[in-house]
Parts: sequence; structure tokens; C-alpha cells
Amino acid sequence: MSTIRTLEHSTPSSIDYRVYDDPEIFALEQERIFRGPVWSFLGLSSEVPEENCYKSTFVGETPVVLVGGKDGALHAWVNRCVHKGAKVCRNARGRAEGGAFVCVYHQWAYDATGALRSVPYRRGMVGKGGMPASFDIKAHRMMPLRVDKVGDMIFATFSDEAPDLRSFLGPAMCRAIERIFVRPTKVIGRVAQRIEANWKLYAENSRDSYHGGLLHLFYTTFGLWRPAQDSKAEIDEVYGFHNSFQIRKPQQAEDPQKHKEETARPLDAMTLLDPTLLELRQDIGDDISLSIQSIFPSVVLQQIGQALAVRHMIVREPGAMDLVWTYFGFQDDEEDMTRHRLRAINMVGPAGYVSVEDGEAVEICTDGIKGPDGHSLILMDIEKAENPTVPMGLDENAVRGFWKGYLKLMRAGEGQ
Amino acid sequence: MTGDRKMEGLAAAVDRFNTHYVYVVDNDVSNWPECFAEDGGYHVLTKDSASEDLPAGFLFFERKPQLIDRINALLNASIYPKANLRHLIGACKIHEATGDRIKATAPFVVYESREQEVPSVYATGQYEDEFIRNEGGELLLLSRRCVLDNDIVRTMMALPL
Ligand code: FES
Ligand SMILES: [Fe+2]
Repeated sequence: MSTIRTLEHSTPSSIDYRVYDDPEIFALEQERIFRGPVWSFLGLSSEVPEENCYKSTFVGETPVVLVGGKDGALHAWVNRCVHKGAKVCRNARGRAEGGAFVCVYHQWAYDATGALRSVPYRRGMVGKGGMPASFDIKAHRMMPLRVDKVGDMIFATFSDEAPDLRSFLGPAMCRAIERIFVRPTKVIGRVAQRIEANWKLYAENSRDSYHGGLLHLFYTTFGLWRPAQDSKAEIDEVYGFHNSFQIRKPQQAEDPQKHKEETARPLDAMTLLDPTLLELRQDIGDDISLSIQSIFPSVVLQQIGQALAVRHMIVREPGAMDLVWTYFGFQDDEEDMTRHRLRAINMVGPAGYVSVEDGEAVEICTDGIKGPDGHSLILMDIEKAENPTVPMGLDENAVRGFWKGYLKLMRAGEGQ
Repeated sequence: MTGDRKMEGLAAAVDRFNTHYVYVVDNDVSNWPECFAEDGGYHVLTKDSASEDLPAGFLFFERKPQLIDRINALLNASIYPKANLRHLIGACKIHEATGDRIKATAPFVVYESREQEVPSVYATGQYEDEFIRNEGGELLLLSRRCVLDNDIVRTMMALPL
């Protein structure tokens, strides 16, 4: 089936399975999404805290370097030497002395903005060799991206057509980001997991509250599930492909029996010997205990109790992605608060009690969709989709929102 | 007993403990918490984070009851690929021995064999350990910090390293 037909067969509630594994779709995504009119996450302000600090990362499959510039400016450029294409910045993170980035291959040197500044033996030696007289250093630079930030989250885009970052995110998403970054933050650790699945399966997973209490059995096994918690779901106003879920601190205990009736799995009355990891502390200054925000295309900002993290999807190939978790706290955290964050982090990440299953869930989708053509059924609450106030876990509105925006971008230029 | 002889004796005791540890994690994982003292800690993080003094990693447990909770969750609640893990621990190095406390390190490798797949290396790294002795004189972990060489793992992290 051709790429375009595969896309045409798909609707936000029914995705042709080839959309996940077709290499042509993957190539088209690089062009229309990752290099298209979309802002992609690069890193946190605290990862480039000072001038000339850098972080190498990716936008789609393109290696991109984020650099702190003068007076708080931020620069991002494609990590590709203009000489022969070598990767100029070879470290994941660091500080470039004097703001110089030097390609190790033939030592062409660039400044923090990615502009070419010097070329060895440019004029040859004793009148022999060297670059042609017409070669103009100033005419060359590594490809720049537009960079901007909201809260401490730094994004970049290749596109001149992309709206400004705040318009791309919409007011509700900006509010949800800024709610977290109330004080200066610091990174407290990083982990990553290689997931052998298409990135969109994980993008759906992070927007899918339906699976929360059904796949992640930690809460139900230990009798901690509260089906009627006070939750709120928001979708961005413009595209509908960003979303956030929030849960308020429970006001009173609920009946876990209620959940048991709805699921096939038994509810054992196991108890946690040491529930300190679930303790909620005063932190951000409101009574929201959980907030998960998925920002199209490739980042999730989360607060689960005191576990603050960004999850960055690094898109490797049609069937593989890395999920990089960067944990952070506030610079003014006391040691005891940092310790409590470490406890709360046991809930999340590749090993976490309520997320250890997600990698496996999207990998079994990858295995299962091989073979005959087919499509998904994303129908939960579709008839009342306009109503954004259904309790978490009973709808798939945010997943359909992802696809609505995705399909629109992918069909751009096809007369849609 | 000379200092060297004493160190050799301690190293032999720690190596014996590690032989027991790999037996337990690979054959009898529900007893894994029994390798730890009552306030025994278990912490898994990357070498990359450790070298920058960043404390957060994959897991952070401070007491044995939390390790029992972990095993209960893994055996009763969590869903992860069916796999055999195989731990290999190299000879230890003793760094400090004062009173009944021993600080030691040992390199480790964990292989993973999933159903119908060829085996792969899941993790390599170094245990940074502190031991105490129980009343019977046996070593128990007061803390095991698993510092991973790899900054990324395949799919997830479930069973103990
Ligand atoms: S490839 Fe970079 S200097 Fe030659
Ligand atoms: Fe999940």
C-alpha cells in the first residue's frame, strides 16, 4: 500500500497499522513533522546553565546541539561539519572552552552560534596549497534552528513557517508547563530505555489514561486504586495534539472494590510494608498530586508526587526509540526533599512501579501489528468527545487528538 | 594475623557472599531481600550520573521492607517480558574495613535471555557495597549501589541487578 493511501485510510479513531512500521512514513515524518512547522523539545534550561554549556540531542533523527550563548541567549544547530559532514560535537554534554566547537577531523572551528570561524592551512604554506582565494569563511555555518523556551523547557524548530512557540503550545499548555517551573530547577539524574517500537506507539501511550489502572497493576495489587479521583484533562486549543492530565490530592478514601468489578484481574489485599514513596509533600504550592503533559511530537513533562521529570523520545528508526528520563528538582530543595524525590522516582522511569510496563506494552503492539493489513479502534468516549471533563481512564480523547494533528501535518501539501 | 592476610580473608568472605547473591537472584529471587540488613539500601544509577554526583537513577531503596515490597510487586503485579537473567560477579576489591563494616567493590555483568531470542547483555557495571555482619558473623549488605556502565537499558528494568 502506498504511503499516501495508508494515511488516507487512517482517521484519528482508526489508524492503519502500516503508519507505525512503513519506512516511507518514517521518512515523510522527518520532513513534515520533525523538520516541519513543529517545535521539538531540546532540553531544560538547567542543562545549559551558563554561556558555552552545551547538550547534544536530536530533533527527529537529526543530531542537534543546544548551546547557551551570551546574556542568556540560546543557540541550536545541526551537528554537521560543513567540510565533510562529520559530527562536530562528540560529547553528550559539556562546556566548550571559549565557545569554540572544533571538528576533530580537520579542525574546522565554529563559534557557539554554529558559524564557521577558522579553517587550518586556509592560505596554505609558503604559497603552496590552501583553500581557493574565493573561499569565504563567513558564508558558511552549521544549519541553525529557531530556539525558544517556556518555563525551563527549551524547544527548537527548523521551520520559518512555524508559529512562535507559545502559539504552537497554546495557552492551556503554557500554563501547565509554567505551573511546574515556579522556581529555578536543577537536574538530579538521568536514565534511558531503548524501546523497540515506533515512537507514535509511545506518544499514544503517554496520552492514554485508559490503560493506567488496567496495565499498571501496582495500585490495584496493593489496594491503592481510587477510581473516582478528582481529575482534569485538557487538550491544547489550536491543534489538539498536546494534552495534560491532572489529579488532585484525594480528599477521602474510596472503595477499591469498585474497580475490581470492572476488571478481570483479582484484587489481592496485599499491603505495602513501607509506603513512604507515596507520601505527598508540599512542593509546587497547589494540591495537584499528579500531572502528565504530552507535548507533540516528542516530550512528556510529568509530576508524579514529588517525581519531576521530562521524558524525551529520541526517534531512532521506524521500529526503535530511546526514552530518556531527566529527573529534576528545585535549586532550593533541602537534602531531605531531594531524598524524597529519589523515593518518589521509584514509581516512575524504566523501573518504576507505575511505568515499568509501558515499554513492554508498546513492544507487544509492534510485534502484533506485523502481518496482514489492519487498523486500530480508538473509540472510548468518542460520542461525547467534545466533553473534556470525563474522569481519567474512561476516554481516548487525547489519543485521537494526537492523531488528528499528526494526520493534518502528514497530509499537508496533498491538497487536504 | 598480618594486615594482608586479614584483607585476603575479608575478600574471600565478600566473594563468598557474592556467590550466594548471584545464586539467590538467579534461582530464588523472592529471597533477594534476605541478602540485606534491616536498614540495607539498594540503589541503581548510571555511571554517567554517579560521576556528576547526580543521585537519581533507576531505583532508590533505603530499607529492607522496601526491597520486600519491590519483590512482591515484581512477582504479583508488574508485567515485563519473560526472561532468564544470569548474573556474573567478578572478584571483589576491599577498600576499607573498620570494626564490623567492610567497604568493597565488584564488577558485574547481567545477561538476559528472553523466550525465543538469542541472549543479550542487559547491563555491565560495578557494585559499590557496604557490608555488616549479623550475630552469626555472616555478611549482609548495608548498601549496594549498582553503578551501570550503560546509560540505557533494553525495554525496562524489572528484576534486581
Ligand atoms: S570534516 Fe570537519 S573539519 Fe573536515
Ligand atoms: Fe503507562
